[in-house]
Amino acid sequence: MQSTFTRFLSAALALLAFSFQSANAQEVKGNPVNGEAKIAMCIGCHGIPGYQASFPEVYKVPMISRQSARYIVSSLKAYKSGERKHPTMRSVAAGLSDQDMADIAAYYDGHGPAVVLPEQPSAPSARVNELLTKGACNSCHGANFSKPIDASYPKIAGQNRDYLYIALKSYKTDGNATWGRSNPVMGTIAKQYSNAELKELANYIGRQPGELHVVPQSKFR
Amino acid sequence: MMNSTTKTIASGLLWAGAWVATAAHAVNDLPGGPAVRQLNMHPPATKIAAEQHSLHWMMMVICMLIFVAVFGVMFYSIWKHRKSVGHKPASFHESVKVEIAWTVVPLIIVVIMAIPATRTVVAQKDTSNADITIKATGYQWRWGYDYLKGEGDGISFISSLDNEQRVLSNTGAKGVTLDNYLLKVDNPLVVPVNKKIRIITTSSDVIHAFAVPSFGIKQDAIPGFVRDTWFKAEITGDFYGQCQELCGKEHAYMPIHVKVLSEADYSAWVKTQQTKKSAEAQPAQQVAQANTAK
Repeated sequence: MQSTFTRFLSAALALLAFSFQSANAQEVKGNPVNGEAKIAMCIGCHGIPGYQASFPEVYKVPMISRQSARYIVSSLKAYKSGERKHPTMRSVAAGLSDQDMADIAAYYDGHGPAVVLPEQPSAPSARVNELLTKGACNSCHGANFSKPIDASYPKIAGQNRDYLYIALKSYKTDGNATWGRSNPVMGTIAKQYSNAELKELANYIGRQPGELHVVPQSKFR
Repeated sequence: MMNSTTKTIASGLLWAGAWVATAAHAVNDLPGGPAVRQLNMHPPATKIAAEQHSLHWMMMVICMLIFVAVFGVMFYSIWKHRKSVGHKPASFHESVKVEIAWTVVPLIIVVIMAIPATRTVVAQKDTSNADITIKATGYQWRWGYDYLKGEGDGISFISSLDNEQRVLSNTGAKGVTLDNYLLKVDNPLVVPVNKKIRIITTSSDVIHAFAVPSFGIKQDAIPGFVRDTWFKAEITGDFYGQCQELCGKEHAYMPIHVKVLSEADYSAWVKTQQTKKSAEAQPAQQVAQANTAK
């Protein structure tokens, strides 16, 4: 009798928690039109083709046009909380409210030309194939690395190769003041690889056709 | 005929009215910031800035005197000893006296200018014995302030331009009459009056520069390096500056706003900041405790 009661209670609690979560997720709805007024700083790096971040490491800043909105929000929140460490992105995210983040993400979600991608990526070499299987990358990021199973995971096909490498490498670092990403899932996966292997992975994924773009601001108003 | 004259007068009146209306809503001087049709440097709020002003005027006066003297002699000579009135050119060579004179006289002038200037430059660089030390970090494109030492240590925040003003700028800002246009920030840097504030500058991405003209300070913020400067504001009020090293697309949109408060007001501000900080830290602590309790 008692065990039934506890089970019922825990189920009720779980339901309650779930409903709260979904209520939270529904609360902030991004509006791309409002987002356009808040992206002046984003354009300064992410809207300039070939723009390189200079500190703590040098790499081309990630392409974010056509990246999924939920992923952009979750990464901005991670920068704000310090889960992802990058001083400049932290300062940018710290000044954004949840509504700002949702608006910006909604804007970039539909920014740039839509591309129809092949279902399967190009065949990897035997060695890269082995690495991909070991990390089971496609199980989350999708078969063509552009159809993640959850919208809060990024599209990674065709992303800048040097950025992918630095991002993967930073999942291996934790506890540094200005550098590193503490994501439990990606952390365990990235730690299985040597840096050279991560570079091979990044090079392969970055060469796949992807939806991501850098869309420069129009020169005319 | 009559009709057209009335029309002209009416349109003229209309224009005059419009002009008066715009004049009434015109932008005003911003104390501590730019003034309308400003010609000279900002009014000084620190001793260093005041010294910089007097040096500026001293050198300006010396330059003007030399200019008038040299050009006066030159034009007089050209006019008075021209060929058409029968003057013959002198044809001497190597006058030791003249050569010594034109070496020694400028040297003396340079030394006269250098003595007070050096004194000020040395004072500008003396960042020792500061009451409060604040780290200013340049980000693309915001300023981060961390209070490191002295009253208020541990306070840390990011200061960024008001987004409404940023949007105004995109639309061309026609007819905007805000005195603090593109200088309004969410979190100004707050310091007490009559205290020596040491500012340590560094950057997290590219070179920025921390500058407040009313304080007479300007210091580059360089990634991977620390540089410092100092000021001791002698009056309370708001003072404004901007990033002064070209740092990318939003370089023009990362203003610096320093709020100088009286000592009592500053202590009160520190207190509110610290309670705010502990209030923010509390839920996180509770979560951590709950986690360990599990």
